[in-house]
Amino acid sequence: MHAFVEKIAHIDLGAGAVSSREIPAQTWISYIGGSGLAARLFRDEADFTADALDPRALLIFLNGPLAGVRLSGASRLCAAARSPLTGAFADSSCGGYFAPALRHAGLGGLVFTGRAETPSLLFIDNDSIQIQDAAFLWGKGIEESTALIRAKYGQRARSLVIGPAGENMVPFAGIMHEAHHAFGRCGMGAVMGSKNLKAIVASAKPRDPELAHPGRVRELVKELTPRIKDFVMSQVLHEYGSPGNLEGHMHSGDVPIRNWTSNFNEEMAESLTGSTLTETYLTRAGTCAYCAVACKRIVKVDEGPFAVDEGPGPEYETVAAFGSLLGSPDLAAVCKANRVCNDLGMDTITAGATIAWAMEAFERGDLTLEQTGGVSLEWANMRTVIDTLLPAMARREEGIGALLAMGSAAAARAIGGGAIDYTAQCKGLEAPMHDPRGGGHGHALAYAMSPRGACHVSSAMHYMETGACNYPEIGFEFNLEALTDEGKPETMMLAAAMGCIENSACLCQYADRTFTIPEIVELFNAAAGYGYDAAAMVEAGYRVFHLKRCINYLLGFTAGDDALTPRMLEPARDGDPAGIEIRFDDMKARFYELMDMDPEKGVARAARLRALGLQDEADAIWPGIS
Amino acid sequence: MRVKGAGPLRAHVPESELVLPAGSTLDALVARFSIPSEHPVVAMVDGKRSSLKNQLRDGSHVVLVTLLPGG
Ligand code: SF4
Repeated sequence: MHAFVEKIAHIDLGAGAVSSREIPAQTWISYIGGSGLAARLFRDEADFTADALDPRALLIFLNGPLAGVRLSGASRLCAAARSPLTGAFADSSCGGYFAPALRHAGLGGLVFTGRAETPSLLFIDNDSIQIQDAAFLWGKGIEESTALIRAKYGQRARSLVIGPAGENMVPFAGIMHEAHHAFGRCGMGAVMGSKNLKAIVASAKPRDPELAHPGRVRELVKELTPRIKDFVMSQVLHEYGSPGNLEGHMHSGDVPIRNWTSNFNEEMAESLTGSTLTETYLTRAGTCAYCAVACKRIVKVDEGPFAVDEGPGPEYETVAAFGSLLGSPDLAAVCKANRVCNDLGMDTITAGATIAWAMEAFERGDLTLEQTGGVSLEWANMRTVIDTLLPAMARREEGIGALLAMGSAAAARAIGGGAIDYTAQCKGLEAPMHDPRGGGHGHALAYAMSPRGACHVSSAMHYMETGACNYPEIGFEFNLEALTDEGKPETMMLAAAMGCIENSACLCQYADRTFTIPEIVELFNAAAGYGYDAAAMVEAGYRVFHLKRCINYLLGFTAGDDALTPRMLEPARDGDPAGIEIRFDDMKARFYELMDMDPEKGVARAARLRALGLQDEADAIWPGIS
Repeated sequence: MRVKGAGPLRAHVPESELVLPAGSTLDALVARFSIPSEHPVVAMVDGKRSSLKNQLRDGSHVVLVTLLPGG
């Protein structure tokens, strides 16, 4: 059997050694690629006694089987490791151009272990993979580092870079690509920093990937591209970016405000929404490799306290995290905070959410001026956020910087009292900017069941609950009411499988929205020769989901960790969902039942694991039980 | 009654005051505008989600929202 995928390079930074190997075709087929295959490699090769920043820890980058195919949204890249923020297995996804660059070099992925003695970078071209000195980049921000890499390695060089936050191992440090695209979530940048690895640079001559049925792939691309382009969601994304429907989300109670104390504010709905961004600061749209949607924002703020040069603009999550969540309607401040946070190399969601939590703690008197070192944390004080807090967090400066650099859950535990109750997180990962109380109760279940912590892209629930996709071939046709629990556990089953398929395929969840199940199956088969039918593909999605849950169990997580904080579940105070309660426990119990999961361990029972081919995991978790 | 479109529906539903025949439903209101059919439209009536089958009340403030996800 042959799967049309590339070999994996292993880089032992401690020993300075590089080797490469093939992953068996059946392993690719069973785990798809990207985050699914990363979970398999992590389970087989990681030392589970090593914490996230231990030199023994693994840091994995993996392509999906479609990388390099000239199809919109088909070339994202996955990074995976044990998260320093949560302690759980985590994966993070990044768009841009690195995935094809890796494939051009004949690689399907990179697995790092060890710690380099001095600041290093990995350089990849067609002929070699070399560990090189990165002293010239150390201590520098993302934008300067990226420019220096271009100057040294040429215009073709594509890079993944960490900033000061990664170097200082801030547990929510991200990895930036071309100073625009981010592996934002779960602290992959801190893991890179712990390895003294400042950058990964790929500069191989472009070539078409070897595909199982290149002619059929070309036909599929030809069929799908106009549909992707014409889809109304793609047009909104292109015109207004991912914040394009922020105003609509706000009216439906989906956008958290002031640390989730509210979810409606008409002024912010208008001032922060995507069309306002387009009318005020947008200079042009940006894109990822081969993508016809082009949803990325390039912005410039000409004047005022938050003036910013032309460059990467904010996504929806960042607009809400540095806007409504902090009680600020100021879109220029969002643009500036986005650039500063990205340059320092921190996840904008966790950074914004942690600051929002601190502002509420300050308002309540749980965090005093003495503890903040005299920094006043009033709502919407964006000067303080941008000039003081973000740099102090990235440097882990003693006092407020070091406290907030822990992330909201650890910081709340550090100050004690009831401060943990008004964080908005699951398993230590701050929730994204969709409030289940207004956006849809299924989101609450999705956040809790996501193996990496509160996340709306680990599963397809966000799209399925809002009616943006239907999968009649596997039993899902949109008919859900947002503000009830009805049908949500049933939907979550398929959503979990579909999310795992998308993230393992490294597909963009915007661009693939109109794909039908038979089309996704055909893409896998035509590009990589996987030989799937719909059932086999969906089964692979379930396999990946359950494997990740098993890994987390073996790392110490149980069903008790599938919980949301009181703040996320208490009836909302404003807007439409005011007073409506989420029946979270009922949804969770039903989901466990449907998925044949144990309500204490939080993993699938032995028979289900064995049926999915997860024999080792069944033996480890359910010894002696068939 | 007052009506407006939010987010991507701004372009299709300009803010306006309308007089509709008594007993008109939200569905009839939505049909007055050329909203592309792919938009899953939800009506917020005086700040509350309302079924499109519901009848409009005098003096209501209606915001039409698409559930188009994103972000
Ligand atoms: S839709 Fe946007 S994020 Fe997705 S691949 Fe295209 S440009 Fe990148």
